[in-house]
Amino acid sequence: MLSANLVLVTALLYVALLFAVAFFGDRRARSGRLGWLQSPVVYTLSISVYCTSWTFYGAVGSAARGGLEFVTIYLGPTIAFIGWWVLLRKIVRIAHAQGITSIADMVSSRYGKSSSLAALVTLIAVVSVAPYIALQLKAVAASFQVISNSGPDTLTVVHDSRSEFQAGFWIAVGMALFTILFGTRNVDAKERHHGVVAAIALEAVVKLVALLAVGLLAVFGVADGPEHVFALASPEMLHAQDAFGPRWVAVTFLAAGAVICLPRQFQVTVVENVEESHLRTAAWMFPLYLFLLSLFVLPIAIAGLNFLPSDADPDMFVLTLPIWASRHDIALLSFLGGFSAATSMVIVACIALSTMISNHIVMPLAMRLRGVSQSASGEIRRLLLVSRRVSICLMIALGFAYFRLSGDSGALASIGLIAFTGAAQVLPSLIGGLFWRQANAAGAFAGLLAGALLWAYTLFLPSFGPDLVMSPRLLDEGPFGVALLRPQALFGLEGVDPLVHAIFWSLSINTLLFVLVSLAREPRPLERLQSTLFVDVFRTPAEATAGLLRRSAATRDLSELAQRILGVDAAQRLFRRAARQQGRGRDAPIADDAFITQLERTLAGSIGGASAHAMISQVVTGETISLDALVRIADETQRIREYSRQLEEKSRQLETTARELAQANDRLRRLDVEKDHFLSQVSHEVRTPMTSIRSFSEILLDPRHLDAARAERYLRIIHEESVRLTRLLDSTLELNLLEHGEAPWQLARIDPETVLDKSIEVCQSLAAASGVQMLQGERARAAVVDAEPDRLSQVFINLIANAIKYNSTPADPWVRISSRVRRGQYEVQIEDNGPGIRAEERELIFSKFRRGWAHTQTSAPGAGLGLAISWQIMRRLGGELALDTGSDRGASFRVTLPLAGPTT
Amino acid sequence: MKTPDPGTPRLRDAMALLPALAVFLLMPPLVTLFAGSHHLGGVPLIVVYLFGVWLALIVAAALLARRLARTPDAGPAPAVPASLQAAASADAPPTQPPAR
Repeated sequence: MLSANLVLVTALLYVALLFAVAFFGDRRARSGRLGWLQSPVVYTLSISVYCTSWTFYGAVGSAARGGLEFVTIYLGPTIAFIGWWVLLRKIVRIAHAQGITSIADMVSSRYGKSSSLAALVTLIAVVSVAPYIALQLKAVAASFQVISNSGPDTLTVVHDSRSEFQAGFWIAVGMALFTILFGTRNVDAKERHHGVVAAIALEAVVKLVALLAVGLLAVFGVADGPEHVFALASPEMLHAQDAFGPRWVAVTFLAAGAVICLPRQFQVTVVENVEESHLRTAAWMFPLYLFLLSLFVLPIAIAGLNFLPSDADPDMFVLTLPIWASRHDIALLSFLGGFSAATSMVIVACIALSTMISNHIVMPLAMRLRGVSQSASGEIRRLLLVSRRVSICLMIALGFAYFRLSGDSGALASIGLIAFTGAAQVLPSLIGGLFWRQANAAGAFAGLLAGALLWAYTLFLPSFGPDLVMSPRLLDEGPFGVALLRPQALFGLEGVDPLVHAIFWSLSINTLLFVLVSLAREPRPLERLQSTLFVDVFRTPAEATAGLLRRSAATRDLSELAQRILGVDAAQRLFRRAARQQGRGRDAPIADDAFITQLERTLAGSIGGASAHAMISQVVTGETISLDALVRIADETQRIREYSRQLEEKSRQLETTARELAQANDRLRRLDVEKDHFLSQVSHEVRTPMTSIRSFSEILLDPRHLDAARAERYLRIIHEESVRLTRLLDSTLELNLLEHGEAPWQLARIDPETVLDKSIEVCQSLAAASGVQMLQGERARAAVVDAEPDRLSQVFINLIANAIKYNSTPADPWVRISSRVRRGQYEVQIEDNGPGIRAEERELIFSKFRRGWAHTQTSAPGAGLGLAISWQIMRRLGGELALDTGSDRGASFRVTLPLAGPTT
Repeated sequence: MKTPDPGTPRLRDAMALLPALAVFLLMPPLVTLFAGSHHLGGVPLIVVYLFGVWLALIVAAALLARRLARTPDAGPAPAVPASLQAAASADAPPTQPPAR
């Protein structure tokens, strides 16, 4: 049993600590030393504002009543966060680019900065969150009562409404004070609330530690380990097959949507996000936080059900279990945990809602009054701050009023999921707006309105109980007795869980209207522009859209406007910076499109996109949106894809060209080497006969000791050598002509066998002289080809003569000639049993001055051009001359010519 | 030159598909397979399954996020295709001028 005073003092000390943390956090941030305030861990902890007292106390209560269903509240956010890459990343990127201040601002900015849409979203948020705040107040008040209860049975709560309300009132006052102090210090929501975030992060740690402590106590203090705990569980609690029905799916989906759409979650996840990369850490750390928080929920529920009196409130097990176990320290910690959960939610929700109310309801109203738009400088700023403070008080007062009104009805218990469903109405417009270009304001408005009305009718109003708003008769029989319109069995959909029923009708009608109206109506130009900026946020560079919105204004008017909203100092800083960027030094900046857009974005950070646009519109003239440019940017994706395809194509072409160039280069270099070689060979070949001609003519020039016979012999040698020289030069010339083309040959239809026979005949004498036997192989005998007979004969003679000349086999040398027709080709094969051609020579055998038989040491004459000439001739005749590689002994040349066609 | 990690597109797809896997594992009908009255080490199988899958998803998200942090650019795909960058850096100029 703890005394009320001790609890009170502890709570006050804890509150003082929170104030101190917020104060020092703010001061650090102001002096620019952000440090740990900007760490991803603090960011993640601040997101855990998701876990309110409804989850801190209520999760155990839910587990005690419905088994595992409580997990869905945490599985939904887990799925949303591990899928951050798809959705949250895009939202955060857009929020940074557009200076988004709240969920209402996000939706309204997407749909052409519509102020009516912003007001509608704000209204839905206020209506659904106020009872949620009441729930927090009630939880704190009730927990205070439980922990300081001096009644006869401390474990069963005896509701003393009066003192509960009293406690609730003072808690509400304290929260309002904190929120006003740290939540509305500055107007620019983009400047973020570092002090608040620091305090929230601390509260997140306290929440987790408290629940883990109670959980460990339940498992190891009250029971004997996890096995014992689960042995105590009733079978229907854990093995209910129907737990995984439609409600399981619906609540998971709802929680996933709520963790994005709830105003306070949007505030901490998106608006307070300092760096996009923090999301990467939060993507797993926040689910981990939820995991740890839910780990002991079941054991606490089971222990509470088994050990506490049967009339103990399951929603207070987290608190009553430590009291029962006489662990007052843990009970106090648990109280602080619940207190943290409640206060952090109220503070953040109030900040988010006050921003929304002041930007989207107060500002538009104020702008309709002539007085405001012409007011003195800084007045709008004051108006904003005051309206935010008032709306914070209003929200908390509203929450307190709900709390007071609902009293003990128990209606608040289910408000968590009801608020989720209300917030989720924004989901279709939000997600549709992020991925679907055609979505427009009319569609979003229709969907939101219908969804919100259905939500109120089927879920929110009935939740107040049968007496407060809706009579039991209306619930049972429908309005005016129309059974089809029964709030919990709409259109005759009966036998469904009321929550699933409401989720189904509100969200499906919402989505349906959103889609249908969007399809039916053409978007306005500003909507189109914003849809491009949102949908293509990852593709469209900011500068590409800068010139789309064309308008002009007097710099003086803009300056006045900025001063009224931002204050004199901030406005002057902004204008000086812009002037520097434009390179105008100390002069006033030119009010060009880019500057006006920048100014509007800055103002949007203070008063929201819709109000900022409305304000700017009051001073600018001739606002036009270039539709052509818009269409072009909308096709950006297509363009980038096309561009990259072209680049790839070009790079492929470049690679091919480079390869071809490299090959050509190789070929050229080879040719160059060949040419050098050829020149040196020609010189060498010319030099030998020239040398003998010169020396013999020198002898002949000295006639002293020269008889006639000798002189004649020398002259004959000179003659022979010059003939050889001429032959060499003739061959070179011939080869040159063959290689570089000349007038086409007159091809005639001839019988190649006759040519071959003649050639063999010519070589008979040479063979006889060399002692080489001429063998006749198989012959084709019937073939017709298109060729030049003399040239063909030249090839045959050259090949046969080579085979004879270079056949140095001592015993029984032979040359065999055979021919045949194969596959439309006439083939002649000339083989010998000589030394053959070395493998390394084979490739070059048809080049100039290559005597394949160089190694045979025969001194047979020849210029070494014969094979090269023959090869060129065959090429020009359309045939081929090749060296057979198969034979291991001797050489085998093959001449191939295509057979003549049937006509011509 | 900064060459993009060839694994990055696969990494991005994995990140995008992880929530789909989560939905598959945690929603009926799959989850009902574990709702029987079996126990695993004294703890009901369904509890072990739900919390086990949950933890596995967190670990997977953490690993993917860490690997993504190490890739140079986690932003949108680069406008210049990788093949062109590779070609530009790999194509050495001709080693020699052609011999005269």
